[in-house]
Amino acid sequence: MRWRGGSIGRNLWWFAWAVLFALFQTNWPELLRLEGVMPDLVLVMVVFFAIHEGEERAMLTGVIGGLYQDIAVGSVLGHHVLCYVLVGFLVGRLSTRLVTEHAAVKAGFVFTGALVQGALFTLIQYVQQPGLGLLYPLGAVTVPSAFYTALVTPIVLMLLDAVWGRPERDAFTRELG
Amino acid sequence: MLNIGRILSEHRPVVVLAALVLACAVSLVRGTESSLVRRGVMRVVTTTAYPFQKARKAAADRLGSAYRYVSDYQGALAEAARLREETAKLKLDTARLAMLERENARLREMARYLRETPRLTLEPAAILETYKGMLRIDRGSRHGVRPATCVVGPQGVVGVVTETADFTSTVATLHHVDCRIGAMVLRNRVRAYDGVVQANGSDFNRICTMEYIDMKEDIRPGDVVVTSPESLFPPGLLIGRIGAVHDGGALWKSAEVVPAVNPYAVDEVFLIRRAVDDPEYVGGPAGDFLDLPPAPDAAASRAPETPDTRPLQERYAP
Repeated sequence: MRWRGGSIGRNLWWFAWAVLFALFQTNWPELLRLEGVMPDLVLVMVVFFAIHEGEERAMLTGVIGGLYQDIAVGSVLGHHVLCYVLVGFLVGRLSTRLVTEHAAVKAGFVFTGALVQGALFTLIQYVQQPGLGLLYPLGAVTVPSAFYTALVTPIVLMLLDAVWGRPERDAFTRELG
Repeated sequence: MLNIGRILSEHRPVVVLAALVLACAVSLVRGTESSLVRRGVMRVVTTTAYPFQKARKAAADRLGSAYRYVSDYQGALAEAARLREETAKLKLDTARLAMLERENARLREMARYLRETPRLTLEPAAILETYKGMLRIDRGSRHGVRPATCVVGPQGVVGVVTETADFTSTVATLHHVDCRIGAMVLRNRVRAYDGVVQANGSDFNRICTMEYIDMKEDIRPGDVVVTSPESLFPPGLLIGRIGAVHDGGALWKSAEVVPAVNPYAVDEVFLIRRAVDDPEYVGGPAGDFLDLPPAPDAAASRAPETPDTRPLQERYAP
């Protein structure tokens, strides 16, 4: 299942999996939802690529997943994208300064990233629609979702490891130029 | 000299980030929900996602059908197990129902017998155990049962009480050697010389015998044998039928009597507590009270008449 072809095929493989995760996230919510809380699989993927391939691949993954979700849920274009892009950049930068091989570190990254992404998302939503409130969505959605996402992180990372492998960190940069 | 290409190359991630953030910010600020950009992006995204969505639907359908197949199979297995259990329960219920039906028929028969024999005061008793031609019933001396109490059933004579305890009694049936009952052939009132029907005492041969019947008496297979007025029993109670007649070749012949009652197949019996002798039975019943077909040749006894030894005054008295 792991891609062993050239760079174009590898990029297509990555694109397909990014779309697949976004599809899974938006089309099978009932499969993932637990007590009304959903994990953010796209965020896990963004973190995975941020750790293993750097912030550029993570940001582009965020663009694909975020765009798909913006279209799927009918929100303003860029709402999800901006959150994922920022998280991908931050985690990509931070991961160069931390030991990232341990599963707990990855889960911590995902948890922190989910909190940041949720806070940003809620903040933008609050700016657009102040009537929805700021603190309540943070407490009722963002924090439980961050926990749930951190919980499913090991499983998703195992899947991504299986299909993507452990590429060296600067491979994407070398591929691009 | 500022080399923009070099700066972009060295700080490409930051540049990409800035571009994306700028684009997102512009989009968010403008709220491009129905803009040309949004429509274009939506078209690109939906077109791109279409094959994935088709694949997802196909996979979901396949998985769903596979799951339904498995779940239906498990459901069918569970249904089969439930039906097996229900069938077993129904079989038990049917068996119990059949048993109750038989008991009901038996009790109805006993009630009918009670109604149709008003001359007998009967007390019902249940059989506790059966062993080698003996019955143990749930009535004893505390209930007023004494030895030599007659025991009958709707089909006829069962036996006679031989022993009593406080709460139980032992009944010797016509299959037990201790049982001897005064009997006669209903058709012509012929008795044996000793006047009794006796069992042979074997579980393998449940036939009773009437010994010492005069050679000249007309005894035929099929003749009905009832209790005689000389017996402990009220006269006229059915004992059985003549099964075979054996010619002894001398002065006597014997007859096999097949008892009417199989003591191993009865569950309740009657104890005769009191009997009013009906003159008709004492004098000789017509036989129709037993619902039996009339004998083809109801001839009188052909035994030699004994001389009339009565005195003349008694013989010719008005």
